Amino acid sequence: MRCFKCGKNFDYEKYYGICPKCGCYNKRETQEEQHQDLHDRYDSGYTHRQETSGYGMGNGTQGYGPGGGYGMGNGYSQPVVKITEVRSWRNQKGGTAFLVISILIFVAAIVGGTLFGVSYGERQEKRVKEELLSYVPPVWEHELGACFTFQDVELTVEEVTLLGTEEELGLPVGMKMVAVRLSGSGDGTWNYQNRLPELYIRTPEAACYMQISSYEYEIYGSVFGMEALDTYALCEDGEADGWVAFLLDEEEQTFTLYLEEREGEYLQKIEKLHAIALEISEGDRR
Amino acid sequence: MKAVKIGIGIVLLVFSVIYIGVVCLVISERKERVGTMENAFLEVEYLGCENLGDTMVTRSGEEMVASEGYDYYRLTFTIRNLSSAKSWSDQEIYLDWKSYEDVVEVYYNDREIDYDRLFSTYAYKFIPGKVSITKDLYAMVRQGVTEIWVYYYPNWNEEEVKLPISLEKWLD
Repeated sequence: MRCFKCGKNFDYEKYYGICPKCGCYNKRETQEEQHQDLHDRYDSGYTHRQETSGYGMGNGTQGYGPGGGYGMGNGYSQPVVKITEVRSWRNQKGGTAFLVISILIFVAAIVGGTLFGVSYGERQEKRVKEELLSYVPPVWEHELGACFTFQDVELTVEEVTLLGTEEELGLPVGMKMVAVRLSGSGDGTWNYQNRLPELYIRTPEAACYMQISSYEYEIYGSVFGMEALDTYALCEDGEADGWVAFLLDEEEQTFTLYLEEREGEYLQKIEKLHAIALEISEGDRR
Repeated sequence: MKAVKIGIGIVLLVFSVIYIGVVCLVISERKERVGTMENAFLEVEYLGCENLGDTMVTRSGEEMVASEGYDYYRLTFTIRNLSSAKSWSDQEIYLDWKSYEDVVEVYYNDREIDYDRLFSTYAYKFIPGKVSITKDLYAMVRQGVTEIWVYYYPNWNEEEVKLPISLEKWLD
């Protein structure tokens, strides 16, 4: 650079702006130049524009001499920010804000969703389970020979008979075989409401025995002349009549026949129970 | 640069919506699964016990003699099936004790079923849905034991339940 006082050319970097000839300090940059330098470093595409009117004229060189004084013509120019740069800066800020908000929403969804799913899901599961377990279905008792409504069909328990003993039929030790005749009527359409459930019997000793499946009983039923009543008998026909068989403790003469009336999409819930008390006398034998 | 940020933001928002949807679906499926209640749910209540002394007679008429220093006890329980699904495992209650010398043998004293007999599978007792039964357990317990425990599972998905049984009233 050139010393403003004596005009000597010297290396500004080497002599830190102090003229090696006269010792005068030469400030290298004007305010404008300093401002531009900062923009060049930290912001791209920004250029100072010099004011041509008003203040800020001169070559922009300012110096401080050893004798004091203050240089004239400081060359200060007010920076003018372009409107397009302001818009660019605002756009950048808007995109960042959207991203930040999206990240916050994502984190909240993950954390909140997980906590909600665990706590609410467990509460709901517990509530449904308690409702199902606490429900006590009513028991509707019917008489032998009396017609009653079961789901969408009308049923009647017509009679009960002893089919054979352990020795006669080769049954498990201590058991005998009994059969119950049911008759029913319905609309004959194929739906779950016309389907008969699996029946069971309960002894006075509270032992419960499942109905022998119609498939397994069918062969023996035809031998006895007592046709099996299929579960879907009333789904195929409007009228049905047949027998269902059970094993019973040899010493028992009385028992109760139960039919479960269920509801729900998968018939998972027992809505009510139908109970018919039955007794086998010595004369009831086929 | 802005487009990239907005793109990432949209992707994150979409993932958030999908995740919330999956959580709601899982909750709904869990409720439905519980609602179907495929397994039975048993509740056992201890009713009382009786000291039978050093001999007992089984259902088949066989007389059993307890080991020296042991007595037979009959423990009576009510087993309730609280669900709508039937239970075949009414025998899934077992005794536990502080040491293996305290309770030596346990019997359910049920009829033994010969599988070769006709319709043998239908001779098994079961607990229908929403039904209670009473069941006796026979145990050979060491004399002087004051307390034993009964454990059972309501079903295989549930935690074990423990019932204390005091035998103090039978001690001299």
